[in-house]
Amino acid sequence: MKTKLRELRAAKEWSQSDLADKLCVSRQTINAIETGKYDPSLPLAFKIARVFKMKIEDLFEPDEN
Amino acid sequence: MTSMLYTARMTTKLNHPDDIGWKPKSWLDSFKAGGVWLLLVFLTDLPGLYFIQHHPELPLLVRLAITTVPIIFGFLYVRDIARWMRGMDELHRVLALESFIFAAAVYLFLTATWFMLTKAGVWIALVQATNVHLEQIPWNNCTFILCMTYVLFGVGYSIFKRRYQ
Repeated sequence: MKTKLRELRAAKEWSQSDLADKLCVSRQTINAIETGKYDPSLPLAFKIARVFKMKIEDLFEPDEN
Repeated sequence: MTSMLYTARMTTKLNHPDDIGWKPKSWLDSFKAGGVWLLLVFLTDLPGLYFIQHHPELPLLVRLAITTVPIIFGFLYVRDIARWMRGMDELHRVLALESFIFAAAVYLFLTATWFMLTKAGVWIALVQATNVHLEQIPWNNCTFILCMTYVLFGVGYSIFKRRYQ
């Protein structure tokens, strides 16, 4: 899954820890999502979308493969 | 053993060492968080077996009680581990589950291999050749199972966490 999370987070000048605190997850989880190594669950994806006031499909894109 | 109790303290909740910090906690905290069950397994399992071996005249019900007690404590410890995992965030829950499955699968594989080698007479030949008594490994002992699973969990965790870094 591709994501724009890193860019969006940078635009708000939040650190990974800041975002992790807002989502009640660990910083490693945020890092793994940003680097595309972990796909968040649907509830977490909704939480992320809510924090950025965006739709899930604007945040995440499925890989072409 | 201290390390295992230390892990047990994670049942108090959350996440990951980097996030919550490895602050030293008192033995009392460890005990509250499930370590007490683990300690009780250690304290009842091997002494219980030793007691039974040296007192074969004990009634069956007493022997049954002595052997069952550590299993109950082991179950309570596993219950606390499950609670600890429930308190994790989703990435670390996945990691912990993968590591537990890895530990259980490797333990089963090792046990099966060991019994096959026993049937093949390998251990007897090894004892005769080297005087190393590998045939006496207590695969079905509660303490041994917990210690081995703990070590294999650590191995699994260090392997699987690389995938998400």
